[in-house]
Amino acid sequence: MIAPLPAAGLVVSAETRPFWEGCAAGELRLQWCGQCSSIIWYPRTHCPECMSRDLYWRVASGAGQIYSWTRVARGLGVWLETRDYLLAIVELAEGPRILTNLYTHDDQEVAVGAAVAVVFDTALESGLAIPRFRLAS
Amino acid sequence: MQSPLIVGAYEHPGRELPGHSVAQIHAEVALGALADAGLSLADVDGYFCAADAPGFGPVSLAEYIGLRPTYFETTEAGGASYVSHVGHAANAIRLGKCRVALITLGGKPRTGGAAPGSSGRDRNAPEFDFEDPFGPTVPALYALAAQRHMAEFGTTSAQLAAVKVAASKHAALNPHAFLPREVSIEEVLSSPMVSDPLHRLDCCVVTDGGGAIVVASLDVARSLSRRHVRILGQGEAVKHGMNGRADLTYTAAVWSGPSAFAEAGVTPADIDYASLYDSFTISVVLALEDLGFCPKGQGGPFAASGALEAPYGALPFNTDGGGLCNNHPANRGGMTKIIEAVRQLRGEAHPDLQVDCELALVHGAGGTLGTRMAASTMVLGRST
Repeated sequence: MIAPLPAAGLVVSAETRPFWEGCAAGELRLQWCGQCSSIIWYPRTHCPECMSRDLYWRVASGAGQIYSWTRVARGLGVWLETRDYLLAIVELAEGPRILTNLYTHDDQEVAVGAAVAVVFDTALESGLAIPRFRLAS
Repeated sequence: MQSPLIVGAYEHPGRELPGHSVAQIHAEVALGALADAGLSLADVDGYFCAADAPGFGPVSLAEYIGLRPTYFETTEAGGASYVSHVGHAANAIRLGKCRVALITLGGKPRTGGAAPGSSGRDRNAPEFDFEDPFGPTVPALYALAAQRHMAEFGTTSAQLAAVKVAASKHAALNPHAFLPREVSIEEVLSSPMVSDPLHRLDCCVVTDGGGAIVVASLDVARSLSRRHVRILGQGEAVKHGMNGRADLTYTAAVWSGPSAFAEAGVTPADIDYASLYDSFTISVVLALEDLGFCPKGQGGPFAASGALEAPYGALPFNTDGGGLCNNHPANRGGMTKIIEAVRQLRGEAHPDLQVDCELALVHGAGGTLGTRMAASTMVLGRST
């Protein structure tokens, strides 16, 4: 059994709400540009590649690989009592590299390039959820 | 066109200042730098400060210090700010907007502030929700760059530790250094892991204090007896998440460096001494590569070769002990980088560490290597 990591409240705005609502529904939603087909990370109301406001949401696979990772000895704020947690950048199968946490079992080795899959943790206050990842077995 | 010059520099000798206000630190370094230059408060017509300045923009400190600037700037780029301020001050002086520009830094994170890494998280920042819920700390966001560099290029913890060892050898000769003791590779590797692969001794010190620089026009500089320093070129750049495609093996220095070298008309091979931003050991390794002092991926072996050790290394760096050992006031290392380069170019570094220095490079960085950052790079020259 893996102890869940802290999940602080979010400052959700209208432009990012579909992402967080997707997490709460168990879906990792990404935003695509209808003009230049870029995937936009993090979500917003225009495409930073081509200026278009013609954007749409699509459900991503939830699969990815570890781009980089670190084991943080001790956190700050709501993480102050959390020891040795894993902060990572996961490269999603669709392309974007996102900051997140990893859950592992003791016998699993964390390494750059390792395959991961999304899990969702409920965030405090909002009832929404945030995406974290576990090593794909 | 007349080239503006650095005519005054001052580093606060304090590293723990529990009884000081932040404004007082700014004023003490302002007066120190002006005294160094041989100028007075009334001579200052340009004032530059960043987000460490308490109160309302440049206004509160102008009042407290006793300045009446008719030109001001508050470019905020974390630890890189002050390197940009020097370049921007030189531009303003060239345009005739001011003649004597004062730049100040001061802060007291050691005795008066929040824990390092806990400050500056703005809940209105557009990235906030996509990063803050995951518990990032400042060391962790540098560790992500270090881990990736290790995976791609085989960089080792011992190579990173060599950066700290070189800085500590320099700090051992600095009576003001916060960590005035030489450390070994083994000591770095056996210090507690903060965020792997970064150990406690891979991190810079947390100190109170500050520093100030005075930039002046050639006309003003000619009236002063102090040896001055030529500002030959400066460049700056932002590197961010790049729409989710950021590559953490390089930094904004890949743009700020060439811009500074081009303006100065010199190449990395011409540089005699480098003040390199050293928030963490990995910051130095990436700067060495991105500024062109060694090929990409070779920063670790370059540091481990002893290249950074003064006075005989291939690229002597941070001869005051840098942020890693001497001083990192206000969690912002750009100002002290400029000051040590000025010492080298005036021939006022520690005699055992003095380089035959005609050209010095100063590199500042702000933000983090793992998310988003600003870099500012400058080439300075010895006056003839």
